Amino acid sequence: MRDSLPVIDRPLSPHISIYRWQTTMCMSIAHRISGVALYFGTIFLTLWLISIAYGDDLFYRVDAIYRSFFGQIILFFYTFALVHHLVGGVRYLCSDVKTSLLEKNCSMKLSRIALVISVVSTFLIWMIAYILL
Amino acid sequence: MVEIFLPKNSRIKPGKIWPKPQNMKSLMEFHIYRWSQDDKAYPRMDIYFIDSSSCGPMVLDGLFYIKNYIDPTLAFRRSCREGICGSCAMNINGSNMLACTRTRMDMDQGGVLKIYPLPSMPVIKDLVVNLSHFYAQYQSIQPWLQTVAPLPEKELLQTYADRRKLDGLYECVLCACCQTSCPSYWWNGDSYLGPAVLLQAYRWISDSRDERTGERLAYLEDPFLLYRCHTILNCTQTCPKGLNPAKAIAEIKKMMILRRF
Repeated sequence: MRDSLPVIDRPLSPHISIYRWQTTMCMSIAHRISGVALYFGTIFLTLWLISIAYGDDLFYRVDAIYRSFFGQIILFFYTFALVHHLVGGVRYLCSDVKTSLLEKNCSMKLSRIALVISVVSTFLIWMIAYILL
Repeated sequence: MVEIFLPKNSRIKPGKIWPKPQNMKSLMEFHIYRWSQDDKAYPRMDIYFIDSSSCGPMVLDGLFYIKNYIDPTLAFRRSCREGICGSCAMNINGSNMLACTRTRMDMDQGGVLKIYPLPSMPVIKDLVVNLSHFYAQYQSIQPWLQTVAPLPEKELLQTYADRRKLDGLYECVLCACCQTSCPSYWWNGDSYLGPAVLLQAYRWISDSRDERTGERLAYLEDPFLLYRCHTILNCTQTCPKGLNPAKAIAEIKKMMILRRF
């Protein structure tokens, strides 16, 4: 093996760019992304709460931004991230306790069900919110 | 760390389109990853045309057709051609599998097969990757029977129930399909043991004859060795032997909690 390249100089075979997307893989990545989104969403929530503590004037201004069309869209996705992360978390907890849920077909079905639940309940939350407010 | 893009020397360029063989009956296109140290060039995708009617039905037969009749410089590993040696593991149309156990018809997507080496591994040549690190990781879990008590005169016997616990674990052929399908292993492969090695770790943990279960679990109790598994489940989806590494890892995680009480 004289003159052969050390491992570090060899090309790395392609990975994420060629690997076929699997449902469970997408859901795992979506779980990560929604987790990161929740950090930002929590900052918005905190700003809203702080503005309440500061008094009427600031609160109405911040509240107006949140009630605008753009603000509502962000809030909608924040709700989706929250519900998606919650449902995903419960799914992972269940499969950690009952490992037979990790069987090939079962895990595929479960992650699809989790996706449907999170989308449906996000819309439900917003429908209820619009009816009540 | 998550690294979406390949290092610069690994970016793939378009390659050569090889001429079609004469008098083709049923045409099939093979797009194959090529890289050789001697070329002093970037990896490339070569396109070959094979006559499906003049070779066996498996993907591996197609590769042999290319090597025998079109381009003898194509390099790939193979040995048993019946899914027991695990040599011909490669990425075919986006999923890792053994080329010898899949028919071309199964994998057909408009008459095109895209073949890459196992993902996120250092390439030696074409479809051959360096698996030394994987084997070293396998060695680190001490994959052999260990006893503390003096050995009996005859063999160590198992009950049928105890033997059945090894079903779905002992069949692993160490082809590294699951290992290299795991995004967590792509990005933390230097420290994370990966699905195949953890499946084997669990095979020895759950062996009734092995007496070093405690030490084995203590070794795995580490934020990287074991807990980089995020139940992405690519391993279970891709295993050519139908095993379930994700489940084995979940069982180890469960044992980790139970041993605290």
